[in-house]
Amino acid sequence: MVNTQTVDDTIAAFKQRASDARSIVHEMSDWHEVSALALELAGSGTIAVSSPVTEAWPGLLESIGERATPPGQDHAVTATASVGIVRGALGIAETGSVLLVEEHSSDRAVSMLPPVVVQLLDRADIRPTLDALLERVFAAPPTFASLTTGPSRTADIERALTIGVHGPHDVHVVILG
Amino acid sequence: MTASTEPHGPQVDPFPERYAKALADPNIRDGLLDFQRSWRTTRDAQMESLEAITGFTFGDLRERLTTAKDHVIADPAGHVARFRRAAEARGVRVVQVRSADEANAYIAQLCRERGVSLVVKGKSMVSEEIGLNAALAEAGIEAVETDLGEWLLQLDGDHPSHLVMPAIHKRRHQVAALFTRVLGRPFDPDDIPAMVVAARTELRSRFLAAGLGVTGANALIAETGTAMLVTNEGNGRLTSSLPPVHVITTGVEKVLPTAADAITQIRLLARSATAQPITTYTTFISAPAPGHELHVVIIDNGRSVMAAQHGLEDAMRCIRCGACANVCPAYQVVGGHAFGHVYTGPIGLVTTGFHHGLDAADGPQSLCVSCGACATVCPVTIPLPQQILEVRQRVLAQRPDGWRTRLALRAFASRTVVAAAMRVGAIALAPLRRGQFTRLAFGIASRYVSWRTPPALPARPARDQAAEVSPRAITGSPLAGRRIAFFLQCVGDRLAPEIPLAAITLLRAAGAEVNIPSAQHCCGLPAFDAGDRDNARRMARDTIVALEGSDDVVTPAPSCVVAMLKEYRTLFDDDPAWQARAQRLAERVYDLVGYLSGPGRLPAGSLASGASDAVAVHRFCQGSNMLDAGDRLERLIAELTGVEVVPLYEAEVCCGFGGSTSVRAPEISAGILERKLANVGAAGAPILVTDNPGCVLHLRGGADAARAPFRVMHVAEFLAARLPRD
Repeated sequence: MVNTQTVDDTIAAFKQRASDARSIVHEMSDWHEVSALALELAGSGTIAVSSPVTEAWPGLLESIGERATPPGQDHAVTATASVGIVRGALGIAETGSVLLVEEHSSDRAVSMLPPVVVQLLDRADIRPTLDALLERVFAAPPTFASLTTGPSRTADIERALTIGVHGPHDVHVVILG
Repeated sequence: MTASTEPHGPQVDPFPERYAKALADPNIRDGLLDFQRSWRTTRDAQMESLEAITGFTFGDLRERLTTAKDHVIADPAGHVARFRRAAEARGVRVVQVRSADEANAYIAQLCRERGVSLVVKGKSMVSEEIGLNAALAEAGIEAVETDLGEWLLQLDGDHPSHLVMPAIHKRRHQVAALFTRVLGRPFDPDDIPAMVVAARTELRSRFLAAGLGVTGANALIAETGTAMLVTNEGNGRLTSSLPPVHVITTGVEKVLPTAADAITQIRLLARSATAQPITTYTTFISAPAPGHELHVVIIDNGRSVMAAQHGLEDAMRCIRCGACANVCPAYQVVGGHAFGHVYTGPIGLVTTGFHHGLDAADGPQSLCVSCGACATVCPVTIPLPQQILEVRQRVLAQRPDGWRTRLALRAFASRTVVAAAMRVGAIALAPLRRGQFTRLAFGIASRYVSWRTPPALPARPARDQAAEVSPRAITGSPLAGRRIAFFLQCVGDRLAPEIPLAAITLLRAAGAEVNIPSAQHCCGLPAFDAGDRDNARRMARDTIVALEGSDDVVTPAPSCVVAMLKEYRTLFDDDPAWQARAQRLAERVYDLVGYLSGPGRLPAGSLASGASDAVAVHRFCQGSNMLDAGDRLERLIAELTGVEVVPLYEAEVCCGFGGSTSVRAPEISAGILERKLANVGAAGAPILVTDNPGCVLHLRGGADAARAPFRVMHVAEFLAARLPRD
């Protein structure tokens, strides 16, 4: 694409557009730094973790400690969490979006019900354009995949942009590696 | 359009009531004016940056998506079968139903079988179309809307007035009052975030308790059996994920052949709908979650009839972005409850008849001013202005009193009848004549004249005066040797002869040989615009014959040129011989500005004498939207006269004259005119120049009635007044 020829350009464009969409972008060397961020964001609340996260980073749940709830909770439990941690399968520079692939209903609840959501994304999974979906989503369609771009929002009252309706109010995108 | 006999969908008040109610509510036009202006600015900025971001222009992408949609229109059954095979292989239940009733019955039965008493709903226009909420209520099932706009409408017993922004007709103080009433605690109109938090809290418990979720789909991807769902609030993701049963209500028009087409749609949809590069959530659903059920209900409800209509099948491309409403000047005046039915805005005027019966289409379609703005922003190139006129023909044909319109237009089609009537009128109204206007008796406050002073009826039409025009030649006679057949245009000829006479003066001064074929009358546009095809063809044929046998054809009326270039093609699409003659006319006809900007170009500065007051320029809407005229009128004035042209905000937005709208729905004309006059007033120039005679009379009468501080001139008058004098 026009302005995303190199890997660095792609990462820079992703960060810019994710920020434009009001995601809060972090860069961390690996998942060990994530637990500190999650605990800080959660305050005294609990932290829901989705199954793609525990599959990719098995140690994260334990490193967060007792405030973390493992995957597979009832929706009502997840709805009480202060923070949800989910895995991004792709980052898309064209739109600043993070693709979530979530087979289980309980995992989707983790990315939607808590007011704060942390999306973990491997640097190597950031692609220039939406065309990356052709391979990652459409070659073998998963049950349920979502491009998410910033926090939930509405403009239904007088077209005034308001952040945080049914989904998270704050979305943190953590680029790992 | 006859198949949909029984009305379906929610109870909608009769059109005259909706129209009167909308006119009486200033919140609608004030709110929509703000909305249209902010949308236009942000949408244009999005389209501007599109190529730098994606490598594609708006034109590239809309062409691709149009092609993809046309593949489905050519073979709907094949594409649905492909979607069904792929989806069913992954455990999705795909159901095709013929009618709204069947769809509602299927969903109600599913609720009963699964013991569901509470349903949550994401935004779905198809569910509005079929009246799902009412049908579920009848079955004892509560359906709760979860899109904020839809929810507050449900609380208020109201219904959407826009495809994407359902509650855009409500202002913040109305929403605060509603929430205060329903939720039993006070809300501050200026604290929108507090209202949003209240919605989140109220609806969260419903999401967790519901046994079934209903959403629409923005696309069904045939190749992969995937439903695509686009939302900002996240209610679609919750509705489709939390309840154990998810039902998608949709129509065949949502089917796309491939996943690559879906990506094209993503690039266009949010930019066109909400002026975002992408919405917050774009979800691809290909199978039910483990332990859950997924049903896709594909509803016909008139769609297969629509797809079989020559000239209307393109409406099946619609992706429900609502862009057409966002630029529609008539929609701004009354909103979607009047300008539409269940489906609102320009596309609603086309599709309503198929889903809800031709009677439901009758009232709203009469509000279209034919300005053509909708087609310029449509991301799937639906020829909306032509389609609305096509619907108008059908409405006229079935209307019990349609014969009156046809009879009146039959009389108007006759040059001699019109000439006689105008002579009588001019004599009768002569005592009321004051300059350019007819001053009616003080106190007459009709819906037709209170906001626009009618023009004076001239004693002699332009055709009787043309021979007397012999101006002093411009140095060098730049148009010497050109033979022009001049088309006066009926409005100018009979109501504003000064306009065609000024144009003739200019052309003769430049050395052209200007002839006025005596058999000419009206191009047929008024009949075409009224939906009367027979009389339109009659007048078009007479015009073609009258203008044959000269080099160039020039008219001071670009509206007639649009008719000759665009409408004549449709009028004669079943008559190759006349089509060919119409084509030969199309190749050599020019409006005055087009002529002076092209083959009849005069030397720069050749009209530099005269006053140097700055002017504002109103761009004839159809010229901008259908002829790609751009800023050629501004450039022509600047180049020939050196006069300063001040910028006019929304210069290309219709002035409200729009064909027969000022007769059929004068309040719409008046409302659009008000917007235009306010913009011209703000521009601050003492003269407004424009190039279509109908618009000149309309703007002149409106400016007079409003006592506006500027004069309105046709470009021919403005330029002719600057010819060198002795």
